[in-house]
Amino acid sequence: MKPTPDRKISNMEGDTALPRQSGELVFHDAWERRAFALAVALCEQGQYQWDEFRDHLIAEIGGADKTQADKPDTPATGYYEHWLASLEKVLLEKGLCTPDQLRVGEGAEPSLRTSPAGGSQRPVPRVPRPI
Amino acid sequence: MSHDHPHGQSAHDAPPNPYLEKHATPEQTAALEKRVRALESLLVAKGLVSSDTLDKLVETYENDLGPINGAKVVARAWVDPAYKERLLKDATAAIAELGFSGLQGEHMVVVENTPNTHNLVVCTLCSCYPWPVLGLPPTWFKDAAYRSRSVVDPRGVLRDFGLELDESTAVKVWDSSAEIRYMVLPERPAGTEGLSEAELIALVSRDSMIGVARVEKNPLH
Repeated sequence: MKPTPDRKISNMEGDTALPRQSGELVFHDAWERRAFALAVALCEQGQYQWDEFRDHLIAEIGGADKTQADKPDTPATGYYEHWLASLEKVLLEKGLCTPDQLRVGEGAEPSLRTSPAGGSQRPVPRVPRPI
Repeated sequence: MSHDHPHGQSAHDAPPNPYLEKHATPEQTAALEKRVRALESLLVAKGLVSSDTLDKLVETYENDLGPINGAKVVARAWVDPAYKERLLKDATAAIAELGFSGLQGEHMVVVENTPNTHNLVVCTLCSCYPWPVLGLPPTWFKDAAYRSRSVVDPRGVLRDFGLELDESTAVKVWDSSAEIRYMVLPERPAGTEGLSEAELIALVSRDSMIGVARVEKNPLH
């Protein structure tokens, strides 16, 4: 059976809308594709509801926007960085992995991490804004 | 052609999605690659996902979203006169022939651009849009200014999109509704006779199927 895109995912609106150009998805790097697919695959398997993931995404993106009050149109962090952080949070929330397990992949970049499972805690901006 | 020509503060111009540009530096990208690779390995090891599933998912979303479906319809009509005839007669059925469905009861009508007639699609009431063939509507399609001005000054709207039409070319405006969704069959650009159907698909932009652009032989990107 040929899989079809889930409209709940493809038609997200507002800040969480998938970056698209002329309707088609925009990925800059291979990791963005993988992070995208991981979040969608786990949801398709019923590990969580899409809205649970999306709530994290809204919080991540909303939190980041507030740190850019001087340049509201210029987010410092890419969409899929927020996506990845949201995925990690929902994985922790659902007990699908532990904070220790997540730390395995982060060795080189402690400053890019948000605090694990800190629901109400706003992450500090992780990426300096390129000019 | 995309509509990234200068509009100034024209209301037709949706604010660019700030996430279309890449933000991460090469070092950050390398770190992110590593972080995601580790996460994927972890989830594969737990038996939660398989790398094969992930590949297929990405393929599905990259290929099935967006105007690629509409572009396939257009390219087929360009290379197959019998298909074009069916498309102009009963677009809903002709589009379904190519396997694209998902329309919720509404009819598709395809209107053909010719050297003498240019068609423009709008939804004056809201943003009725044939999403199974054209993907998500662009933000400006829902914009009140586009919706109202397309009716009273279509040539002006087209000029804003960088499309200057000859005075002798008639402009027809089609108002989509909940019952009828319009799509434009753009003109096949001159000099593309040698191109394959697949190559033609790549030329067809979303904007050309709404009618705010022509199909160019050499798209800008």
